[in-house]
Amino acid sequence: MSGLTGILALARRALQAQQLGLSVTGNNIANVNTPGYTRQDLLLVSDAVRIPGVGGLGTGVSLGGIQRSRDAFADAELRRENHVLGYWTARNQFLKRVEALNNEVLAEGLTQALSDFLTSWQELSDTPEDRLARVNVVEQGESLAAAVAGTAEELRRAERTADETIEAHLTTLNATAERIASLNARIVARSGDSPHLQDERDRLIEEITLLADATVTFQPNGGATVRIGGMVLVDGPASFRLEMQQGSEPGSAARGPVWRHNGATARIAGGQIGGLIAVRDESLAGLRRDLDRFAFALAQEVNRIHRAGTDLDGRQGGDFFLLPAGADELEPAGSAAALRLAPELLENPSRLAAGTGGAPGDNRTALAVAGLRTASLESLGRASLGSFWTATSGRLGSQVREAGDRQVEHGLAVEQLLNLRDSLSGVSLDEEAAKLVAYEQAYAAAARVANVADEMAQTLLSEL
Amino acid sequence: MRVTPSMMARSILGNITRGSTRIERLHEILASGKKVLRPSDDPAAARGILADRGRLDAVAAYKNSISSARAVMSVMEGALVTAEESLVRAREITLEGANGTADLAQRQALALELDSLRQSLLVAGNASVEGRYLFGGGRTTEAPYYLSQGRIAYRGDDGGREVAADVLDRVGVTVPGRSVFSVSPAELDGTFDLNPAVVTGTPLADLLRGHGVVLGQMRITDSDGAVGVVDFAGAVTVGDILARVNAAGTAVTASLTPAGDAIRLTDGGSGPSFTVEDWGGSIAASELGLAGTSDTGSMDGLDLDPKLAHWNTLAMLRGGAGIAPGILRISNGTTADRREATLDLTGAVTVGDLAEAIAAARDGEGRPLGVTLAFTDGGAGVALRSGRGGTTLTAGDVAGGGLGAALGIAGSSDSGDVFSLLQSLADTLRAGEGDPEGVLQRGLADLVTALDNVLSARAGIGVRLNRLERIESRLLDEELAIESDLDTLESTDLAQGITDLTLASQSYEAALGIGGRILGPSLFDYLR
Repeated sequence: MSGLTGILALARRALQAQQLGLSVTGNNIANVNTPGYTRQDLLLVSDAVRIPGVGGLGTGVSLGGIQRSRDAFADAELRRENHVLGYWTARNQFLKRVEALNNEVLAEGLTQALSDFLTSWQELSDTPEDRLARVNVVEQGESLAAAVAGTAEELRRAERTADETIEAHLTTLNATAERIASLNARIVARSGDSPHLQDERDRLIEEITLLADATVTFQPNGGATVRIGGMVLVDGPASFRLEMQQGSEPGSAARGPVWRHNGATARIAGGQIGGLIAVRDESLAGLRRDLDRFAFALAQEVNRIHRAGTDLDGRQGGDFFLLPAGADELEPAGSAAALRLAPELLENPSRLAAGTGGAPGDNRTALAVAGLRTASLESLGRASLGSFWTATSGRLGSQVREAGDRQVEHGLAVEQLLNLRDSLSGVSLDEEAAKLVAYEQAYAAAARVANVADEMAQTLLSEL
Repeated sequence: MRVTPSMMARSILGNITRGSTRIERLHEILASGKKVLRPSDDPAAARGILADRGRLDAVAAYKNSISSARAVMSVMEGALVTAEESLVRAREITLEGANGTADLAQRQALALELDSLRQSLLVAGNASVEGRYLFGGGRTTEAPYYLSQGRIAYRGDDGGREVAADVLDRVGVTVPGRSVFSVSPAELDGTFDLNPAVVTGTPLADLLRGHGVVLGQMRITDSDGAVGVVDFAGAVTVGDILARVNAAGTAVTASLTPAGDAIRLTDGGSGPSFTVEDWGGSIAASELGLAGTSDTGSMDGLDLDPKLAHWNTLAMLRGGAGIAPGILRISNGTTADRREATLDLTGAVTVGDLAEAIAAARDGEGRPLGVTLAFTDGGAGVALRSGRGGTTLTAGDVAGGGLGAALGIAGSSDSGDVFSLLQSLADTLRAGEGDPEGVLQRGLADLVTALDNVLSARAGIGVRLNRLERIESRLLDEELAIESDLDTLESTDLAQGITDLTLASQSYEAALGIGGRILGPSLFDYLR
């Protein structure tokens, strides 16, 4: 409508618009520190009507909607980088703990125990008839067996801790998936247009990517479909659960995450869960295998030499170490955990064989065992006992180092992506301050227009 | 580009965290003095560190072993010095006793001194370190030499302990007493007189146990009264004697007795008696035991008693009854080094064949047995002798043969030791005047052998001590090099570390300061 009424209406709409602008700006400012909040912008468009004889006449401003500024590409990049970071973070934290439990460099580990054991045999070779030297050998042997068995126990406990942590993460994952599903339902009901629900959903999805290598596709109806390892985790209002499959025997290690609804193995290769699975199945399992090989070779070699020797009374020596039944060179599993000293040596150290000919002063068996320090063993790939274990702990150290470096590297990448996302979708107080000023001034100006139109109307009325 | 407060906060916080992490690490390095505290700090260096530490442990153990071995060996050396002195003095005493000028009382005194020297040797032989006996071989828990039925016996074995001085260096430490304190090598003395028969080829030099006869002339008067003078000048063999007698132109003929031990003169004349007498100032007839008159028609001379010689055939032995060759099993060795051989001597004809075969005998692994067949002094017999000291010599017949028994060498013998030597010397001196069986004389030779053994044992110890010293010196050098390498690998360079920490602290403080200043203001501070 034209005329004063039209101007009043225009002013009224302008006031509305600027007020709304203030509201939106105020909302942004209020949410400057809200995690995952996407900046909202008020879209304004100008209106016009055609007046015959005059042409187009603007009729003020109208609302174009509220825009949520989000960059899908940056989001996708961030999600991907997130799960890589999660993977290396989990690896680094866990492996560092494992390394700390058996730090060879601090000279408290197996390397030192082995060296002390072999030194005790060397000392025995100097005085093979000495009872104290024998007692020393037996004690060092016991220490070494305890160190080996203790390390095996620590590895087993680490494996169980990994399993428990994975299980806890799965519980969190399941709960988050459920929340995403319910958000999906609500967003779809609103035809996909509700910024704060979408923000919340995006934040939850990011949480999931820290835990696992999930991918997201957005449906035209506004729903989000989340997949892990090709299987669907969330689709629309439905979510599926993951659980930890237990080992076949009670007390044995759990197998891994599976989908509850069909029992299929979940292929989780990234995120913290993926990192823990890799640590458990590769690093810890590898360490356990090496430890078993070490224990088996140690027992086998010492026993072989000891059985051919003679003790203080000239009797043939027996086994020095005891291994579990069924362990052999190709399948040494369990050797480390069960390694211990033959009990009759503990009771009676004079049963320790130091020589080979039966005479008390014969030290050839002691010399042979002491020589294991440098003897290369076929069963350990031509390495000596000491260098085999040193190589193993060196490999663990390399893995820890790699995980740490990668964690830092990807942490930086994530930081940069977050900054990028913030610069696209975040709230800058300076910007909002400027907008406040603009909307405020515009509001004042629109009010002035309304005032002028009102005065003009008053003038008209007073003339009548 | 939009810059939001969260971006700034994130960047500032990130930088501050990185700064403080770095400071924490530097602090750890400086406080501990080590830049590798766990394998992940530097995996390659960690491997080097562990390898170095392992070798250091090994070197320390080897040094310990060397030190212990040297202590033992110096005690052994001391004992051997005492033994040497005792043996030297024993030799002086034996010389004095053997030269015949000492009277009974003096001989008693010498014998007493030999007893005390024997005691010194006993103490030396039972030398020990911390209750471990050093000359008993592997039997170190009890004294190797002990008194048993009035004699000193050995109950050690023939082993010896080695020390590991380094990975590939094994050095002998102890030696068994049997090889140090032994005297004469083992010997099996055979039948004193194998009584080889005299044959025409027997050289005159062999007669009378090798004393030999040098004959002059003798005159034969046969029963018919024919007279002949036999001149033996230039005669070499018994056969020559027979020939010359037979060529003397009398009816008396010479031959060998059936037992092959003497010359028999047979008178072919018709008279009642014939006479043989020394002639030309010589005692030829008497020497041959043929001086005199016989009215039986024949006369047998003295037993010519030839010595045993290599050319004697086995058939000639035992007065012509002969000894059948056979198969002998001989062993000559110690418990640590046994050597045994079975000799088929069935093809042997002469004594020399036996001697050759025995001298060339080798055991199953090709090692020489070290045994010889020698003639006994003063007899016409043989003895089996070991050429190696400290061994047990055993010989026996195989497959029912009788060669060994007939030669008298079947049996077993240990090498003698200094204790029994000194005992027998003392006994001889105490027994009375003179040295009827030559014990003192032989004893002098045996004492020289004993001294040789002791000296060579000492020399052996000296050589091994030198070797240990060289190895120890090498180990000490290696220790220094490894410790230096270890230091390089794991120790902090203090100056570098402090500099790094200072710089890191400065950066950290700068980050904190700047962060504080730029986080604050925004446009709102400047709007009215």
